[in-house]
Amino acid sequence: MYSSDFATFMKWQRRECANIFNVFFQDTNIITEECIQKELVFLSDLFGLSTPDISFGSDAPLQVELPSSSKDSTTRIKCNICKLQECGFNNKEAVVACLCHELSHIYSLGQSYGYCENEHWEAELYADFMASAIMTMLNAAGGKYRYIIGNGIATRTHPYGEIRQRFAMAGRKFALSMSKGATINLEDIEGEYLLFLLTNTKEINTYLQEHKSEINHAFDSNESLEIDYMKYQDTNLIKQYLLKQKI
Amino acid sequence: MINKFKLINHPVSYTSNEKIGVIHAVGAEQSAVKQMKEALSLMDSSKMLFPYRINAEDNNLEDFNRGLYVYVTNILTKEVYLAKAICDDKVLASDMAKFIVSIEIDLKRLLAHNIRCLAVNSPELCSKLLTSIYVPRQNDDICIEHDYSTQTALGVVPASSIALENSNEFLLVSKLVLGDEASEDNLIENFISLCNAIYNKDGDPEKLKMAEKIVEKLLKNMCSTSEAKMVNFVRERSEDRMFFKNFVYECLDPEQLATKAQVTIYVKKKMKDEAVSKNQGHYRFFTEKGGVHKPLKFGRELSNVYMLMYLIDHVKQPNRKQPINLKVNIEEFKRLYYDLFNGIRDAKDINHIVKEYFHRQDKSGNFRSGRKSEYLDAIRKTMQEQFEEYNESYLPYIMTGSTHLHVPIDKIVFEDDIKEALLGYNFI
Ligand SMILES: [Zn+2]
Repeated sequence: MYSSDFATFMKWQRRECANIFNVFFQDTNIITEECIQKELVFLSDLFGLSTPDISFGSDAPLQVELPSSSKDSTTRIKCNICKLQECGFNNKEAVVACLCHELSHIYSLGQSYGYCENEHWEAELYADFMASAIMTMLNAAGGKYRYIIGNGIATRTHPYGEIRQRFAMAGRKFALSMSKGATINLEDIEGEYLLFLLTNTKEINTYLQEHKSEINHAFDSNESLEIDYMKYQDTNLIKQYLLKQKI
Repeated sequence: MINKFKLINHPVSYTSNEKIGVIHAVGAEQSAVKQMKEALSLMDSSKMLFPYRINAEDNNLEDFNRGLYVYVTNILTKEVYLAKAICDDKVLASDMAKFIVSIEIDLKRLLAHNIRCLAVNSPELCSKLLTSIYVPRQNDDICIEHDYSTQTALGVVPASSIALENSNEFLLVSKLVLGDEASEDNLIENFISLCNAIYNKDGDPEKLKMAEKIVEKLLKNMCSTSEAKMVNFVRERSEDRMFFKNFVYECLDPEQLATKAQVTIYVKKKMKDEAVSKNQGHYRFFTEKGGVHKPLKFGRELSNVYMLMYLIDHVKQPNRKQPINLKVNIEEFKRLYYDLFNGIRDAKDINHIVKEYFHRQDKSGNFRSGRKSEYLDAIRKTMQEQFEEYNESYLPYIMTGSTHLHVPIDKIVFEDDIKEALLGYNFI
């Protein structure tokens, strides 16, 4: 067996069982801008979307900028490869899964179902479900992606890693139930997502309550709810105003 | 798995309360029904508009096909709808989930529209009661160009919610622009003054620019959570009978609204040099308010004939409440169609069109529901868009599956040279 074949085989073996060593130290590729661009074209086609403009070197690992007005209809993706790698998205499949996640957001733009009390959470779970299902249908390794999202902390915009992982697994399970080589029908995946969402809202909303009480607790111990605008960057408008007032 | 999925909403006049939310699975396999039952038992009905149940049925009614059917109500107006999803072959639990979600999306949109009516027609009632919701405009394209000062859906409603939800940021911005006038005690008034200042560019341009950006950001945040909030609001208060009675009476009752109707509908013959139109035929509709005339075009040819029939009948029998039964009036309807499309469309067309009006069959011989709802929807949509421009309610000007027009007949004008011909039609 040639060494490259062996590497491929090992990688294939690891594809669904991610652990921290796998994620950060083994099974890594060098990601190039060209590679991302190429995958983006392929995936946008799969979603039936026009390919978003992509630029490199942003602050965040991966960021979608939706069209800001009706006049300008271009969607932009900003990407920072180094930061992606730092998060653990350091091989091709993991990056593809990430792109898939972002494209799912674009695909479902403006669609909010409102069953989860926090719509940002709902949108994230949707994107995780879609990305994971599509990765499975593409026969690409989604384990690393699921591992990373599964370790995320809860914020106002992102749910607990635990729930995200569960949605991603459900997406994978559904994709596995489809016959091999079946064409990817986004509507079917969406239907399955809705079923999973509706049958899990109680639990998600319980998690959300938990998150809220965590926040309240954090604030309680801090006494003051005042926002310290001085901490913000100089471009912050309110900070600018406050500074001006002081003079 | 379904490969054709169509949700059709028919307003129906009455159904008993127990039937609301029962999903009838017609022709579904036993195992599928079992799965759906299981799925339903796991769902959180407090997050949905109705507590859904499922009922398996294998009776094959003539017009009905395999699929899912459910009666739902607009929780505000209590209008009842029959929603159908036509499914092919096997229906799955995920199809049911999709069905439920589609219905609720439709109903939530309707609610959004209803609340917009409330805000436009009765700002006091609105501001008193809707303190915690924000209603986006149809296209959700909220930006700073909008006139916040009109104390309507875009003024009072978001003002209160924005002010309340972002009191810290908001107070800072208000103080920035309004100075000491702004205080914590009158957040809502501050907001309106602030928006007016931004809108009228009244003040220090730098400060205004800064404020504009912040307000825009706050508004955008509001938009993302608006619909769910609104539905919750309605759900929480759906027991408040007086509020809804007032609301329905003042803002949604077409009869009541007709007394305040301002828009006139004109029917004219097309100009000699005007090009023939395949959809409009020889006649043209116009609307007019305060001297402004706007052409009124329905995208479907039958919508035009249909509207004309209702206008004629309404002028002749203004007290009629029930809709016109087309089956009984089919010959007169065809005559009107010929008149409208004489020399433009083939007379043979009408037989086919009328046939499809009630129900139609697809290539494989399955029955589909007719196009009636499509024609009605086309009218509703066009009217809604145009009347929003006039800031008027379109409700008195449309018919539904169960109602006739309500507009006062002096607001319907047939041009002299066609008046006699039009009034010559008789619908029973
Ligand atoms: Zn996301």
